[in-house]
This record gives sequence, C-alpha cells and structure tokens, in this order.
Amino acid sequence: MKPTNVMKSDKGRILFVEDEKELVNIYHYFLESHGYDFLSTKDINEALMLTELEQPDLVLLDIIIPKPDNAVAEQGWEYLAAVKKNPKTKNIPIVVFTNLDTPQDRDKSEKMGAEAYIFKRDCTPREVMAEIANIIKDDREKKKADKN
Amino acid sequence: MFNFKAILLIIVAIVNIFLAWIVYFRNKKSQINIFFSIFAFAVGLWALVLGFYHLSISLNTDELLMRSSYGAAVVIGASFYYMSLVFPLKKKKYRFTGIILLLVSLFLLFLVFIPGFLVQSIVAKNWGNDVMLNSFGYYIFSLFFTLTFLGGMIIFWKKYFTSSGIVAKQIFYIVSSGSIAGILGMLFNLILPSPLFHNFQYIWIGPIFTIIWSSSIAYAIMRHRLLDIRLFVVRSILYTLTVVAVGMIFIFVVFFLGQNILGSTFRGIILGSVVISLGLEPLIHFFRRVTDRYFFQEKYNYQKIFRELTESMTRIMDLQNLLDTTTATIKNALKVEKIAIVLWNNGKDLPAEIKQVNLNILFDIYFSKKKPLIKYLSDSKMELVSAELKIEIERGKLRMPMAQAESIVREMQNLDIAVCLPIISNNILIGVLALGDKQSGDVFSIDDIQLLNVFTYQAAIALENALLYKQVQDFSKTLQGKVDEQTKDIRTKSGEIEEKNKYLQELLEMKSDFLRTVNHQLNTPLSVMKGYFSMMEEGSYPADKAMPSIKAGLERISSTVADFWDAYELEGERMKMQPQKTDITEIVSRLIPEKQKMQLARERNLTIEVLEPKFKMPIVWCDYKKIAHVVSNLLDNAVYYTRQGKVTLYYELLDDNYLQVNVKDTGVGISEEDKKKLFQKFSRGNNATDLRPDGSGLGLFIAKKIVEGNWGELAGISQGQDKGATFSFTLPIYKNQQPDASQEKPVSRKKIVRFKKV
Repeated sequence: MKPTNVMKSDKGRILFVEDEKELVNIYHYFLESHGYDFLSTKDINEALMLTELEQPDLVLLDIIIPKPDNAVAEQGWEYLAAVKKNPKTKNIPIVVFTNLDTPQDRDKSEKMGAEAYIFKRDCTPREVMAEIANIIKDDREKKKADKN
Repeated sequence: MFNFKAILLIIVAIVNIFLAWIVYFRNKKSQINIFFSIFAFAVGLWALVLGFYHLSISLNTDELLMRSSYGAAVVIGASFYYMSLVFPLKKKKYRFTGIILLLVSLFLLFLVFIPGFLVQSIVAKNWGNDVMLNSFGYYIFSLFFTLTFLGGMIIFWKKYFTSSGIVAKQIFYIVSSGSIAGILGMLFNLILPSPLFHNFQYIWIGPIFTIIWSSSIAYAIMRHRLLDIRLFVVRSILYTLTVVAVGMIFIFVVFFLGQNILGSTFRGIILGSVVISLGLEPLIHFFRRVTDRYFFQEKYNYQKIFRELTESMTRIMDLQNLLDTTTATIKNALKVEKIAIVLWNNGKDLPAEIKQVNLNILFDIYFSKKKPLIKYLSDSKMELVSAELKIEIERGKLRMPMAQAESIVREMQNLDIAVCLPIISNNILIGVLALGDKQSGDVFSIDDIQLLNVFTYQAAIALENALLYKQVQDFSKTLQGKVDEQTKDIRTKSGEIEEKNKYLQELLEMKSDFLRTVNHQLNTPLSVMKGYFSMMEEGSYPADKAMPSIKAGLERISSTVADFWDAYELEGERMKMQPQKTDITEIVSRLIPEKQKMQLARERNLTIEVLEPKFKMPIVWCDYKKIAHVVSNLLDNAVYYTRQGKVTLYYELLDDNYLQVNVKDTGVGISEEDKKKLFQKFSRGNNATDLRPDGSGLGLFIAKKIVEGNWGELAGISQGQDKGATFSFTLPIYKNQQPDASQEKPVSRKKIVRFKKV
C-alpha cells in the first residue's frame, strides 16, 4: 500500500502492519469510512520507514508476519523494538493486534512498550474501531498535558 | 653239637624280652605296661631257661634251670591274671587281689626253689636229661598255674562280651592267641611232663607259641589303633608255624636222614639247608594261603577293587554318576552298610555335594568346614577312626585337645560314621569319604584304610574335575538362563518399541484425523458462508435470510478453533484452573434453556430436564467457566446422540466431600469398543459420523481434563448399544478451600487489554 499524501485527518492516521490481504481490505474500508487516514504494509522495513516519515497516530501491529521468502516469523516484535528505540517514533502508540493468545505474548507486548493488546480472533472490527478511537483520544490528551 | 632247640628257644626268649622292654619303655607309669613287661619277661625267661636247659651244660645247672623255669611259669600265671584285671584300662583298684596274688606267687616261688619240693633231681637219659618231680609240689604248681591262666582267660573273655569295637577285637585276639599258646604250652610243658605221663621230651615246643600270645598283647597295649592286629596275629601264627615246620624238617633231615642214611650229621645239615632253602618259599606261601583262608574269608581283591575304582574315575565325567559308582564299589568291597562322599567348592564352608547311602545326613551344616570333624580332617589331612579316637580319649593320649577329640567322636557317632578320610587336592580339603561300621561288625584293617587312602588320593582329582565339570554345566545353564532372560528382555523391549511405534502410528493417524477434522470443521462452514455470500452478491438471496447461517458458520469455526486451542493447552497441561465458590445449579439453569432451544433438540422433540435434588445443594469448588463448558459439552453430546426420548440431568451427593453431576440420555449408548477410547483425543464413536458429523473428537477429552483439573472425575457408563448412556462427573464441595497461591496470575481471556502506562 502506498502511503497517501493527503492531508492528515483530524480523526488520526493509522498504520496497519499486516500480511493478510482480506483483513487489510476490511480495516481499510472500516477505518476510512470512519474518517481515519489509512496506511498499511506487510513489509517490516517499509513499515518502519512509514512510521518515521508519516508519524501515524496509531499503529495496528500484527505479530506473525512472514518474511519476504514466506518463512513464518514473528517480525512484529522486531518492528516494535525498533520503533520504541527510535526517538522520533517511540511515542507513537502501538496496538498489538494478533492471534497469539498466551499470557507470555501479552506480557511481552506490555514490556516492549505496546499501548494495548487485541486478540484478533475474538474481536469484531467495530470493537477494534472503538478501542482505536479511545487510545488516540487518550494519547492526544496526554501529549497536550505534557506540552503544558 | 648243633642244638637247634636251644637256639629256637633262645630266639623266642629274646623276642619276648625285647617286647617286654619295648612295652615297658613305652609307658613306664602304666600298670598294664608294667605287668605286661613282667609277663613277657617271665615268658622270655622261661624260654631262655629252657633253652639253656637244652644245652645240657651240667646236671646241677640243669636242675637250677628247671626250677627257674617253674618259677618263671609262676610269674607268668600271676602276671597274666593281674593283667586280665587291668586290661584295657585300670578302672578299679585291685589292691586286695593284687596283694593276695603277690603273696601266693612269692610263696610259690619260694617253694619252687626249695630243692625237692617240685624238682627233685635231674637224671641223664640216653634221649637227654630226665627230670624227677615231686608229685605233690607239681600238683600245687599246676593248680596255681591253671587257675591263674584260666582265670585270666575267663576275665578276658568276660571283658570281650562287655566291650565293643577295637577293645573287643583286641581281647579276642589276646584270648585266641592265648588259647593257642596256653593250650600248647600246657600240653607240652604241664600235662606231658606231669607225673602221669612224665614226658619231658617236648618241653621246648610250648615256649615257641608264646610269641603269638605275648606279641598280640604287646600290640594291643602299644598300638591303640590295633587296626591290623588280625593281620599281625595271622602273620605271627604264619611265621611261628613256618619256624616250627622248618625246624621239624631240619631235625628230620639232619638227625634222621643225616645220621641214619647219609651217615653223618654234617651231610644232613647240607641236605637240610638245601631242602629248606628250596622249600621255604612254597612253605610260607602254603601257610599264608591256609591262614588267609581261615582268617580273611571276606577279604576282598584289593587290586580288582582298585582297578574298578580307577576305571570308573577315568571313564565317568558326570559327578552324580561318579559318586554313585564309587560309593557302590567301596560299599560292596568293604562290606559297609553306610557310606557318604561329601564335596566342597573351593572357599565355601558348606558342602556343594553330599552323596550318601543309608546314612541320614539331613543338613549340609553337619559338614560345615567349621565343624570340628571336618576342620580336623582339613588341617591334619589324616584319616580319622572313631573307635581309635575313643581309645585315645580313654587312655588320655591324644593327638589333639581333649575337647576337640570328644566333639569329633560325638559328631562321628551322631552321623553314624566309623571312618572318615579327607580327600585332598592341592593341599586343600575338597571332600570327605565317610564310612559306617562294617556289616560284620569287624574293625577296619590297615589294608582297608590303605585302600581307602589310595582311593581318596586318586579320587581327589576325578571328583574335583567332576565337580568343576558340574559347576561349568550349572554355570552354562545359568548363563543360558541369563541369555534367555536377556533375550526375553530384548523381546520385551522390542515389544515396548513396537508399542511405541504403534503409539506413534496412532499419533500419526490422529494427526491425520486432526487435519481431516480441522479441514472439515473449518471448511464446511466456510463453504456454506461462501455460498451465501455468492448468492447475496448475485442479489438473488436476501441478506437477512443469509445472516443467521453465516453467523452460525462463524460460531462453528470460532468454537472449533477454540477447542483445538484448549486441547493444545491441555496437552501441555498448561490450562490453569481458577477455582472459585460455584453454585452448579446456576450453570445448569443457564444452560438447560439454551440446549432446549437447540435446533436438533426441537427437531427430535427431546425432553431436556433437571431433577431437583432431594438434598440441600452444596456449593462446589471449581473453575466456573470451565465447568460450565463441561456441562454444556455433556448436554450437547446427549442431544446429539439421542434420536428420541429424553436427556436428564440430576445430582448425587457422594459423601461429605463430593457432588456428582449426571447427564443421562436415552440415546445410542456406547459400544464396548468405543468405551475404551471414549476419552481419547480425536476419538470418535463408530456412529459419531452419522449423528454428529461436525464433532472434533475433542469434547470429552477436554471435559475429562477439565474435571480432573478441578479435583474431580469424569466417567461414562452405558448398558450397551442403544441402551442410553450416563456421563457423570464429580466436584469437590466447598470447605474453605483457598485459591492456590502458587498459581500464576489468572489467565485473562479478555480480547482487548489496555496496558497501564507507567
């Protein structure tokens, strides 16, 4: 997905790091219809570049992202680590959006600085939308408070 | 003139005096030795005196010598009588008898030397010297001698009947040799010279036979073992007879042939020497045969026996066979009733083999190497004769400490063993040959012992080899056993491996089952949904009609995946329970309406009911959600597998601690075959495909794991095919149980988690 260079929406800009095309389409439809800017990629490096350049208000991050050679890998963790390491991106809220369902995965997400954890299987897009809206709202309030 | 009578008598005298000397110095303190010495000395003196008498030095000398001979005879009689009293052991004091005997004999001695009392004078006759006797004195002397001699014999004879073993044998030979010597002596030296016959020509014969007599007594005294006394007696008789015969022949040749036919004594001497030198050997042989035939009627053929034994020892390798053969041979040869061979393994105390015939050795402990008997045999490597040892004990002359000797004798008596021989190999006791008494009651002779000794010497190697051979055989048997065992082990192990293979095979099958199930479970609803979507896309199908089916499909996929996940977790036993106080009726009352609304239940017109408990429902301690899952699962199953009738849920109170929840149906039941794999993962009943095509085969597996995780049990019972089934599970009743502190923090199944920012 090419980044869109349209004006940043008030609602916010969402980066969806996901390899599953169907899901990307579903969330593209839902997020844009709700007034969000929508960016997506299934390439981890491209995702990092987009994060730094586009400065999304939120990143929806899948963990299990196969490498270009289709080898199954949990590349999401690498992305998360890199984003939190980079001063330009470390304050961007990351929502882990995955089918990995163990407490360990949740703990890991929290420790690595993710804002939230969403169990992909059990959630409807509507629920996800609501959660995204909440996080962006809270994040903006927090940043506003930090500035003052 | 060459006087052979004198020489013969002097030789006899020397022999007797020599015996007296030996016996006396053997034990100077022993009364029996002293009195024998007196006896033998007197006999020797008697023979010596008579010998000198035959030299005919002068009439005066002859007179003194003749008196002396009667004096010696008095001493002989007296000492023999006293000896009979004290033989074989002086047990009583014979002071009174002794003093009387001493006084009488001294008095008689005194009388004998009074000129004219017995021997009046010596008169020279053409055949030699004649002795003039006083009849009164002679009868007094004869009375004394006869009384003492016969008295002694009677006492010995009595002792013979009261004693046993070697002592009896000793007395027997003393009495019998005494009888020979006494009868001949009395005949030639008492009866013939008596005033009735007045024949002094043969007084030289009597002393000769005293050799048998005195030597048999000497032997009895000196050699406590006296094993070969018979042989000794026999041989002494043999030589005595030979000497007499040779003497007779010599006399005949020299004096009769020499003087009357050849013309001179000198020629006679030469002829006699030739005859004797030629005839001595056949003569001795003849006498030996005669005496052997008389004395050794049951004598065995030593060489034949030995050949037999050696032959069997070289031929037979098998231990048992060897023992059987050798014991039988020895038993028959020596005419013993009881015999045993005991063998030891090197270094062991207890014997390895006991071969016994007619003996009653019940326990091998009798032959422990620590026992005195075996210990002695092992240490001394000498044979042990029970009777010999007994005499040693009685006489106090022992080759070992008294206590040891006594315990050995006791042991031998207890075991009925008369003779015991060690079997020695490489200086180590490897066995013992034990024999009971001879059937004849005879004692063992030196020959016997020698045969046995040679046998044990020869047998040592053969027996040791046989024992080793047996051990090797046993060992190879054990080895074979071990090999068999190992083989069995390997077979068992390979069986285990086979089982594991089978298990893996099953796993593989399960995996393929799993994949097929997944395929079916996920793809079916997907294709259904796709179908609805296609229809909607074409616009020919109203979306509101498609919606419930699509929703159901989604639910099905969702629950299948959840099931698989649960199963995966359970497999790793990772599912953590979160027990809490639970009212099970709450779960049931929520689930029953749900199940009643199930499409299948309605189609089949099933009754789903709950029987109200007759007791106060207790609160149970369990993971609410998971137990709800179990109840739901059991009810689902009941509905699926019941074509008609009803599903009943009821409670039972097992005891104070457990509540049982039962779900009973009137369905197809469980076949015997299915019962075995009821709770296995991915296992599905034979009829499951028809009745519940969408089942994952995981429901009961998960349910069982959950119940067990909540300290309960889940079981399914059925009367059989088409007779319905009841699934029951138990749960612990709440009694102040506390959440397990060691448990990890509760697993949150919240689908969205907001992390609190630090």
